[in-house]
Amino acid sequence: MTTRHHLGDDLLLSYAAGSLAEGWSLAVATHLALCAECRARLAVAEAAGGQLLETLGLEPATDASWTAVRARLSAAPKAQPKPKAGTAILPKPLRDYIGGDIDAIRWQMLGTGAAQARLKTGDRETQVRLLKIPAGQPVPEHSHRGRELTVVLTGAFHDGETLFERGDIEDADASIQHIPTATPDADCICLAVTDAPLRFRSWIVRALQPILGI
Amino acid sequence: MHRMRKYQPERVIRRARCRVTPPMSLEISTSTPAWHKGMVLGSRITRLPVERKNKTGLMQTSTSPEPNMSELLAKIGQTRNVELFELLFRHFAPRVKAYMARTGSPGVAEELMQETMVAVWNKAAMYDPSRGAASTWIFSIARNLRIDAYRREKHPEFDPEDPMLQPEAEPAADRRLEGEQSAKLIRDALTTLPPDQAEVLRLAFFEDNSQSTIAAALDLPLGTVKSRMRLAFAKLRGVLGQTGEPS
Repeated sequence: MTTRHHLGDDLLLSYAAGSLAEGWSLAVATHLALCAECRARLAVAEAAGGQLLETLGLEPATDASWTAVRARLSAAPKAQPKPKAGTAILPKPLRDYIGGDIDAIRWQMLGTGAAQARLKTGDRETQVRLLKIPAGQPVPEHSHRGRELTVVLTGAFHDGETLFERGDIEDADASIQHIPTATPDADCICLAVTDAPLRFRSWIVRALQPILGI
Repeated sequence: MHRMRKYQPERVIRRARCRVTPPMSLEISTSTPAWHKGMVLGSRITRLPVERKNKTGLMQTSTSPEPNMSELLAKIGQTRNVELFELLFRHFAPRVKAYMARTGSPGVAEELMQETMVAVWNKAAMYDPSRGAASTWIFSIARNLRIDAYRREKHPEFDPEDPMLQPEAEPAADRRLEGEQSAKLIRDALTTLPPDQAEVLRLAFFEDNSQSTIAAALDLPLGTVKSRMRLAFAKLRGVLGQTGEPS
């Protein structure tokens, strides 16, 4: 199976440069694990980073630097844990965020048969969650103020005429009115990353947020 | 990581993240580093006169004072030879430190440079020259450490050894480029980018700026920044024979 909806150049370059927040980067990395074509493009972007590194003005590293580093070198290579050959459904690095594969996801029911599971990242810019959409159903509570990246993990969804299958990434901004709907054959699980909702400092406003709808 | 925590870099960094270096040097230097000019990319790629092996056993030419860094790094991974590692260190440590100094104080830059070079040593056995040049690999290690130290975030990455990784179609033999060879093509392409494209690339790679920060700093619409990035990237991919942006 080949993915048909890929990473845009600007997203891929920002990821390679390291200037993309962790949440967006998780969506990018998940797509990369499922798309060899984008991995080849990433290699170009990272090679550009390497070549730019070569052109940087030099900050002299002194003999003292070398002595300090020399003292920290261990003789034996650090053993790298071999990944267990198995039949995982979710790729790394997503498994690391969940703490296991698909059956380790702690779903929180959304009331309509759909479910979500939030994933924690180090950035304050994004909100990351896994969504389970029952076969044939639309994505619930679907509004976002800014950008939204969605990567299909199992099943598939339609957005208008466009079909998104495993590995495909959808990059939607707030201007796009869309109602992604799972295909009727199977539940669809996807990774959805959005701009974090506004955080109010007052706990009273925070408590009222769901009522006020903000 | 604990060693660098004590510098408490956040305050420096908050300042640094809002700052965009003024566009002082817009173009990328057109000069090829000396070590590269006479570099031998494996004898089947470039044939240069007077090849000899020095005491490190690495290919060198009489005109080149430094060996092929990718070959050197691969050899370090196999042999764990500290003398060879010192050669690599002397080449990359000043560059990595300069990279770290773009977004942090000199003390933090020195510590992060050391972290990076120790990580290079520890992971050297995992380096595969067919996947990319040494500079590419070291850049990615430095980048991840910078993100971790300055932003307290991770840089999530796919695992090349993950058994469920969607496999690559085997590229045709004549299309498969060694890391160093493609790095050379990219280096040449970077020198011919229009200055405005080179500038957004540099801002993105070195200053840890999001596209919207770059747009604000250069007083440009976000769309212009994105399109400059796309144009620059298209040119880089073009020299490697990759086709247009898939969508």
